[in-house]
Amino acid sequence: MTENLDFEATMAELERIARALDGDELDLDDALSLFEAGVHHVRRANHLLEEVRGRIEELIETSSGEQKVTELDVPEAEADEP
Amino acid sequence: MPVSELNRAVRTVLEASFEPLWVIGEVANWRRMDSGQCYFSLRDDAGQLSCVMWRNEARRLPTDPDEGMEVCVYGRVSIYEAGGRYQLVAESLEARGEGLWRLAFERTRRRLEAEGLTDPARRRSLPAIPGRVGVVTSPGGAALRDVVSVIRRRAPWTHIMVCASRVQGDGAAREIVAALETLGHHPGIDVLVLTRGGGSVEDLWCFNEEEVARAVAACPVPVVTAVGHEVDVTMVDLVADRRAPTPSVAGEIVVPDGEELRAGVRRLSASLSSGLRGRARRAEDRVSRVSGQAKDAILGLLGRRTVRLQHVGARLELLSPLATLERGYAIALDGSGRVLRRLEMFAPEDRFRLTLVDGEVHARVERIKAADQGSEGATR
Repeated sequence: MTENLDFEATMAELERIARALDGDELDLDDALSLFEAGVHHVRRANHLLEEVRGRIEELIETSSGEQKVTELDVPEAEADEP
Repeated sequence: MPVSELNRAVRTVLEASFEPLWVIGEVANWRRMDSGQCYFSLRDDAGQLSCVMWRNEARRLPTDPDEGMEVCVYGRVSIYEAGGRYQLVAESLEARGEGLWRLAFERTRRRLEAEGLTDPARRRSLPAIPGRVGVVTSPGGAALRDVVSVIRRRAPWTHIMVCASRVQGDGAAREIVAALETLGHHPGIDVLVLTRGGGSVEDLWCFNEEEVARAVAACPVPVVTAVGHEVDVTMVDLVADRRAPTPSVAGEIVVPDGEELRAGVRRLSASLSSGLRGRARRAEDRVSRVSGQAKDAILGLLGRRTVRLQHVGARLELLSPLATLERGYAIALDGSGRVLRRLEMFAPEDRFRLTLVDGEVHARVERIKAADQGSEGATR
C-alpha cells in the first residue's frame, strides 16, 4: 500500500509543481529548484510503475487462529475464455 | 393381532408395492421442527397426503416453500407405524421452474433490503490505485487465474493476497464468510474481490446465502463481486460495492491501467518542462519590456530637456549685447577692450573703438560734456 499511496502522493505533488511553474508568483530561482524537484518526482513515479513488482500471496488462518502468509503460484490465464 | 404388528405388515406391503416416485401437489401446513425435520401435506382438489422430510434432506432446501406453492416431491410411500398413518417420506422437493430458489432469493433480498443493506447509497467508492488487492475464491479456479492475469497485465506492481475458500456445496458459505473476515481485517488490504466462475443455480447458491451477503456488506474494505456469468445476479452482487460481470472485468475494475498512469506521468513531465520554459520566456519578456520603458523614459527626458534648452536659448538671445547693437546702440571700448561706460573713463585725445553690429569704428575724443552741465566732448 505504501508504494502506491506514494504514487498518488507523487502525482499530486507533480500536479502542484506543474501548476506553480505555470504561474508567475515564483521567482526564477525558485522555479528552477521546483522544476528539479519535479524531475525527481517523475523518476519516482516511473520507478513505482515500471520497476516495483507485486507479489502474489496466500493468507491462511490456521485452526489456532494464527495467520500465515505464503507465496502463491498462479499460472497465467491462456487466451480469453468464451 | 397386535396393532403394531399389523402396522408393520401393512408397511412392508406398501413399501414393496411402490417404487420411489414423484408426486405433484400444493404444499399445506409446512412445519420445520427444531430438530430440522419438516412435516407438511400435499394436496390437490380431491385429496391430501401427509409428508415428512428428514433433517439431512431438509437441509438441502434453499428455503421453505410457501403455503399453497405447487411443488413436485420425490419420495417413497410408507406408514408411520406409531400413528398408523400412511405418508410420503420426501427425499427432495422442487417448486415448478426455479420456484424455490427464486423464493429463497426474494426472501433474503427482502430482509436485506429492509435493513438498507442493498441501498446503492451504501456503496463505497473503490481506491484509485490499490496497493494490495485481496481475492476470496477457490485457489485452483479459472476465476483466480483470470483476476490475477488482468491485474498483472494492467498494474504489475499490485500485491495480490488470496484467501482460499470453497465456492460451492455444503460448508462453502461458511468458508467464504471466514475468508472475507480474514482478508477484510488484514492490514494493508485496499479492496476485495469475491469471485467464482460460471455454474448452475445450485453451484452458485452459496453466494445467495444470507450470511455471505451480510459478510460482504459488513466488510471493512470495499468489495467487488464477480460470480458466475453476466446473467447470474446473486445476493452478494446486491450488497457489494461494485458488481463485475466476469472475473476478468473485476480485475479491470479494481486496478487502473498502468499505460494510462504512465501517460499521465509523461503529460505532467512535459508540462513541467513547458512550465519552466514559459516561466523563463515571461522573465525575458519582462526584461525587454522594462528596458524598453527605460529607453522611452530617457528619450522623453531628452526631448523635454531640448525644449527647455530652446527656451533658455531664446532668453539668452534677449540678453545678448548683439541684440542691443542690432537696435542701433554702440559699445565704446578702450584699447584693452574695457567697456567705457562713464565720462570719467574718457580723456580728450584718447583713442577708443566703437563696436557696432556689423563692425568697429576707430575714434578719438574731441570734447567731453557732462549730460547735466552741457560739458563739451565730441567724437571725431
